[in-house]
Amino acid sequence: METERRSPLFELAPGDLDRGPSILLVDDEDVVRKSLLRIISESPELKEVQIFQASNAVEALELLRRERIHVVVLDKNLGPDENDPAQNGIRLIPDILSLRPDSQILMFTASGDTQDVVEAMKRGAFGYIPKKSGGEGASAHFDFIRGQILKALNYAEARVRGSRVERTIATPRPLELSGKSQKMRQVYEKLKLVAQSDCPVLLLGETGVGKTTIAKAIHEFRKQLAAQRDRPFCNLNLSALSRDLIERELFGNEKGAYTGANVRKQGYIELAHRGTLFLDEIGDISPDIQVKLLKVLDEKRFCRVGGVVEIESNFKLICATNRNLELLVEKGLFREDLYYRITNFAITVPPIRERLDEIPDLVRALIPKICQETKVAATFEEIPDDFVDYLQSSPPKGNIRGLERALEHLFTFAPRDELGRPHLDRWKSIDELRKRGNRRHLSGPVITYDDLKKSQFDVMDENFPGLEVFQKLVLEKLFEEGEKKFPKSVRMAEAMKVAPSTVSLHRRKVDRRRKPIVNAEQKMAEATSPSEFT
Amino acid sequence: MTKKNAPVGQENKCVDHDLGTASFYVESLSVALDSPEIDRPYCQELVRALGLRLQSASENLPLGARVGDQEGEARRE
Repeated sequence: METERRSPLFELAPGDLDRGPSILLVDDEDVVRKSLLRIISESPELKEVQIFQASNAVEALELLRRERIHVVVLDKNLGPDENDPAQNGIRLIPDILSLRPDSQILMFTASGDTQDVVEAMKRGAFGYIPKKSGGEGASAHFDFIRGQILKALNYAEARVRGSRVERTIATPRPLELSGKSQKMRQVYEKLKLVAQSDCPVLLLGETGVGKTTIAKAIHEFRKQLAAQRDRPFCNLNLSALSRDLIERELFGNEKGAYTGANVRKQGYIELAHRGTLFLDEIGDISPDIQVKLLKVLDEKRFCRVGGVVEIESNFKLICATNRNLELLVEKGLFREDLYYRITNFAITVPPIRERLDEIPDLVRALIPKICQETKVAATFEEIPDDFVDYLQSSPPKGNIRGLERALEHLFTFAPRDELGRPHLDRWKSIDELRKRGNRRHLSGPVITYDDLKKSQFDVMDENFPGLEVFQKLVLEKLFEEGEKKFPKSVRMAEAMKVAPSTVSLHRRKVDRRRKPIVNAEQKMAEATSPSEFT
Repeated sequence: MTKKNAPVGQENKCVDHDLGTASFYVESLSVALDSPEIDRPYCQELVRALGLRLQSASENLPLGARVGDQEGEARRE
């Protein structure tokens, strides 16, 4: 039944709900569904709502797959055996939410067992409706049922609207995944699949391909699936930490666990509870930490360092490495059992040289970030075609990070007009000038400050020695003139608007340069001169 | 669906469930009978379902409540 007119409740979001609000009644008894149907249809606010019915779990899930359902009124007992997952409404909740994260579930239960209600809410139910009235009479009880359904519909409608806005505006596809090549499309599809399971994921790929961003993307998918925005994402790079530090960072510690442990500290595993733990460079951890990590993955429980109480932590583990784990296993540096545990879902992110077609898309995606960092305004259309061609023909080392650096160089070294706008089209000489500038810097300046002053300071000019040499020459000249006027470093620093330490440092350098060179022979001669013995 | 022969120790829960559902039928019936146009088949269905529920509750009553019930005694043992 297609709704022709929306009830006032939904007028605020025209077009947001595809086919009007809808409710699914799941109960194994026809007569209960009929009664609920009557209760709902008697409400003027719920008159236009589309109602679907299912008598068992299979039918319900099939309907949820087909239709966009906003509220599910779900009977707790869908059959005589509540231990059978197909006949237990509470156990059906996660399946419903995985299909329709925006749907709100109202448990409809005849039992007054608080434990069931708590369990249902834990699994993600919106609320519950008791079949038995609290003695207030049939009419009041049915009003309560209508009120609960209306509340759930309102909430579902707000969620649908909110999540769509979030999907279209707040969470664009991550930069590293903006490519359209077959390989990257496969990676992107895999991400969505692995996000649905709680099993560990291993990200493989060269440095700079964006493994961290991909881990965050998996986390975002999971948040969307669970319809919970407060799930934590904890990121720990293991290669930067020592063995002891890794243990403390991962597991936390109790107060007094070791010298200097003045307070109890939560570890990353504890903090990642119900969220995602991303361990970068997993190949770098020591065997004893590997054992502990395996235990946590198996048992979902751990103890803090120096602690005896087991703490529960249920998290999605994402690991990344650019090392060959198989080789490490062969050498005995990586535990085989942990290897199999984490490599079940492995995603290899291809390097940039294997997806050259994506470079224009990546450059386009990188521009806003680089503009922000280099304080240069530019659009993709302003980037010279031959620059992009150049990147495609000789992709920079470091994958996406390398691309980022190339763009930073282009934006930083490009000459500016009087309004400060960069001439990006003269990019080719930048690379050459930078190289020449560096060489000159190493062998010392070959032009004077006065020469430079006479020039137009055009960094594209053949004679420009490079930014570092230019800066050095300017500073030397300023110091030279400043020294005469300001014998005290503090005054000179004030006048030059630099830190006093900069002036002091420069003075020390100049003093060293002015000091007469004394070679070893002279020193020897001085040491053995007769005056020493007089 | 009736919850006959509830596992030992689960009888109270089953009776509670049956009575809760029965209560819902009674309320539905009461509202249906109050309406200006009585839907006879629907009311009959409710009465039938109510009967089954009450029967199920009776069969699942805790053992102590059925003195002399041989079946109950056998299950208790």
